[in-house]
Amino acid sequence: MNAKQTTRNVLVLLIALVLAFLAGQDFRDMQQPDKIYAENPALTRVAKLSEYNPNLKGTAGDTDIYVFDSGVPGGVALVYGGTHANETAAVMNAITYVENVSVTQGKLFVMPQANLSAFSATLPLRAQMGHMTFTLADGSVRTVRMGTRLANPVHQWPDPNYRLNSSGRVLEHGEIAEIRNLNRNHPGMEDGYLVEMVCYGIRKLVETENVDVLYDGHEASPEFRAVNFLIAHQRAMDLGSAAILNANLDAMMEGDMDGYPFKLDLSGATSWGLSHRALGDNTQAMATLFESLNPVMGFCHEKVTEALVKDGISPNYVHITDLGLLGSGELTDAGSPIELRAGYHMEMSRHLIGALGELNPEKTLTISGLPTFNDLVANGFEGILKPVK
Amino acid sequence: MINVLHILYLVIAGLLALVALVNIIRAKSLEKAINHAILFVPLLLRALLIK
Amino acid sequence: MKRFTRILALVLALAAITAVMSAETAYTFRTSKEERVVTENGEFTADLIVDPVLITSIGQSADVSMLDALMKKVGATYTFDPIAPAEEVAKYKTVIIASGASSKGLGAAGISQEQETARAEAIMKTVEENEITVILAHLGGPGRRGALSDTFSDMVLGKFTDFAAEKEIPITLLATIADAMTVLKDLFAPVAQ
Repeated sequence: MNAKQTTRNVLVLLIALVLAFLAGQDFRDMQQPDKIYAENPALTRVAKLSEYNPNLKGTAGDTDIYVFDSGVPGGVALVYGGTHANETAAVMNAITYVENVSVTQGKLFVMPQANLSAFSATLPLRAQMGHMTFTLADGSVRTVRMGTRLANPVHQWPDPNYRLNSSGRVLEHGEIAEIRNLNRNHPGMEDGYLVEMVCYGIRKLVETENVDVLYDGHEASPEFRAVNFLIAHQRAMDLGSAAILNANLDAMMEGDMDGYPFKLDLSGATSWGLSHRALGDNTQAMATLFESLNPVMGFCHEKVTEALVKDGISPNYVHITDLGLLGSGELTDAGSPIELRAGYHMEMSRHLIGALGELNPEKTLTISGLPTFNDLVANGFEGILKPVK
Repeated sequence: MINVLHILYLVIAGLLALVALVNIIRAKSLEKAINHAILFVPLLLRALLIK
Repeated sequence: MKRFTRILALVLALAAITAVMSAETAYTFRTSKEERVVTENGEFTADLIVDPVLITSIGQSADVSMLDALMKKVGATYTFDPIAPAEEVAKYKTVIIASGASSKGLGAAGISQEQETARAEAIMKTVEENEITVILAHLGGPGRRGALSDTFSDMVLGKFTDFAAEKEIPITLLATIADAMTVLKDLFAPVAQ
């Protein structure tokens, strides 16, 4: 090989290194943690999931849990989002709790980013937008990462071709990558794959803290059959019914004539590894899960823009709705904005907490301070979020 | 075992990145150099735990 | 219908606000922002309710849990048994049936579709033989708009309202599930002594 060829090849290598560096910057940026406002005076402390599974210490799965302890005996709830890091309304709901809630009886645990690793990457070839930003009234910008459904392979690799996990679910063939999905690996393993260890940490949190009700927030595509459904373990059906009814009654009292489009469904007996089935079967908690509508998660959306991701505006899905092809994820021209979606999560979880004491007065968990649904929708997160230093 | 496999795969990724690098330098044509470069970038990023 | 049998169907349906409904829908929504509870074909009042009251399900959907929550809220006295067999139903004077099929519900109850159908048929025979008052509750309404909602309205709501009109059975339609409170309170709330 002559000097000219070598020079050319070295040039190609240098260009490759520059491209790797530039691309690497983007990927490394996504691994930077989100700044979550933690100045709420009602906040008792910020715990780490590794307190419940020491094997998580120092790993990418060791996520923050915001604890609000009134010191008064009562009910205990766990509200979390971020099982799937692209389902931002559930994350924003948890963040709204962290910033605003106060507890005067009972104890509340809030975990905005359950699968912390999943926030540091998006799926290849899916054009997923990496951040959602909100410009606040004072000009400052709050940013929340939008990751993906699965933990980052940088943190957990390789995926086994076959895994019989703690729930009895076999992950193979089309479900090989689901070893990185929290919501297929509950109740978890103390010393397994990273995601299994995270699931175990959540289980131990629920058991150790005697959580009475857990709320796992999710979002779904318009094609999904259970949009705006509360999925409840059989022991949580009474609670779920009461919560949905109360939410609608409260809406009527506030002059809202439509109520909330919440429906109830039973957790499937074969939903092994999912939070509502596995945590319901293996802990004392009443396990629930709610899905709000996020059009960008579907397969028929337009080019990915902020209007689609943040405001849920998708003429394609409006057209599909008009053709009568959707079961529950119907969309109008008004879209499905993040405030509406997070507002539904807030109302659903708030009323589950309220119903806890209604069904069992010893388990009263009294919370206040959250914005009203109408305030959230009217002012947007730009008007609700607090600036972070 | 899980950690052992993880480290093993990272080492393999690193070695393959190295092989791709050597192949870039030794490529007999621009086309081949670019082909090896396309393999090199993701292998390097994975070995460095960036992506 | 046999003269000694009174089957009063009270259908609680979730219906979208009339204003947004397509004019081409064969079924015309009765409820609106101004009139959230609409009753047709006569009245059904609390004096027609005879204790004891049973709530059961046909199809095992989650709707029976919603009905239970509603009845608890109004302070009614009743027995809740979603899988009550016909022999059990015979012990009651008023039965509220929440209709709605769910394979998950059937699975959880350990019942097959065929067994549930047989149970439904046995219950229908029992209520006729024992002159039990039956209220049918349908709580799984359609979404807010769209052709699927229209189809549902035509198929389901249309069937209910047409049947009720033909057989002169009082039928009450509701704008949202919260409006069921108004109706159930009138029928089942304990009267102050």
